[in-house]
Amino acid sequence: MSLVVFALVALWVLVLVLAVVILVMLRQIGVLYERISPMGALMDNAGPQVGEPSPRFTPRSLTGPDIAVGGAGGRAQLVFFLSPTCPVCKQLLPVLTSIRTDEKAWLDVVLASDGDEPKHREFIRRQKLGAFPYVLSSELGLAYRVQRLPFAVLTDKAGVVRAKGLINNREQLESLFSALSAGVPSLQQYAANHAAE
Amino acid sequence: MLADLLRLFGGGAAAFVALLLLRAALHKAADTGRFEGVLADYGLAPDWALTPLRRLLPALEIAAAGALCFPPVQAVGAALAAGLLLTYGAAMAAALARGRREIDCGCGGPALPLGWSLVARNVVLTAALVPAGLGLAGWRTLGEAGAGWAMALVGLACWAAGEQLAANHHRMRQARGPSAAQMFGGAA
Repeated sequence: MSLVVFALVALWVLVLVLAVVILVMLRQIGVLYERISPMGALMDNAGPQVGEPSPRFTPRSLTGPDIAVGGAGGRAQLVFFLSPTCPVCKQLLPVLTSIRTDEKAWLDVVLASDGDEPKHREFIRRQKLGAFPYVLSSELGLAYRVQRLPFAVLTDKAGVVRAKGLINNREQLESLFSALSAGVPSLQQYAANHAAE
Repeated sequence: MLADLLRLFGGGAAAFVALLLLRAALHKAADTGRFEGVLADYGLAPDWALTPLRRLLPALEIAAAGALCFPPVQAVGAALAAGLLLTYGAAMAAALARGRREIDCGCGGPALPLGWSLVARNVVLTAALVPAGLGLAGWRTLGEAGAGWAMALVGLACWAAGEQLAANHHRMRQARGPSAAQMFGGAA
């Protein structure tokens, strides 16, 4: 009897330990994917290409005067497409706020979306986005061929698109700036250049 | 003999669902902003209801989990848990019917896209609660309780491993990158 009890208890403990080991291993694989897959902003080939001049718009801002988007008078511009119902967008708002204050000297950050104005006003109020220009313009999204959110476009002071792509985390947002300084549009492009050598 | 087996498996299932609900509640409470976003993504509740729902759902989950662990109120806990599971299932089915496939299900654990398998999963979990709901589940000795909880704990670890597998599988497919048609300017 005591042997059966001992065997059962020992087996349960072993099964539990093994199950936890498997879980931890799978979690590690998941973490590896998280580290590998976001290699720079994911870029698609639709819309204005990197190196081409950006289309220009002057949409109305919900938080201030009208703003020129795409080639705004001698300053670089980061246009960030978001939506009140996109969880990842909300996670990136603090990053955008710090970029706006840190890079104030040379960069304007513009938030862009489209749709129902009261919802966006509520979103601006709740997330305290009053300091950002916030434009509602479906033409803007169409011109850049924004298909999934959050999406960002970085233009230089001449209004030329320097980097763009789907943004899922802070690293991808920062990769837009490294693309601007390195002159390589995306890490995919960088990898392709190196593969070609 | 059969009644005993039903009692023991029913008890194990109730303990397992209790652990699952507790995990889901902790997950929701740990990242309220994300959970509210998930709720908004489903597009089923009006905006003013999002914040109350965000607070209410984890509280209900903890209440159901707690009640499931105590024999005197186990049937009530089973009913509450079944209600939650079926409500979630119905919400997922409604979102899927509207074509919202690529949103996070918000189930607790790694981010998973919606799918009919998740709806089926909730129905199966609800079915596992039937013995507890009818008062036919539970343990009578310490040994039974130990074996039941061991089963529930191992079950939870395997469940979490299964979810992680599904999430990894989804990432693996995404990591393949753009298809040849997209790369060479075909149908975008």
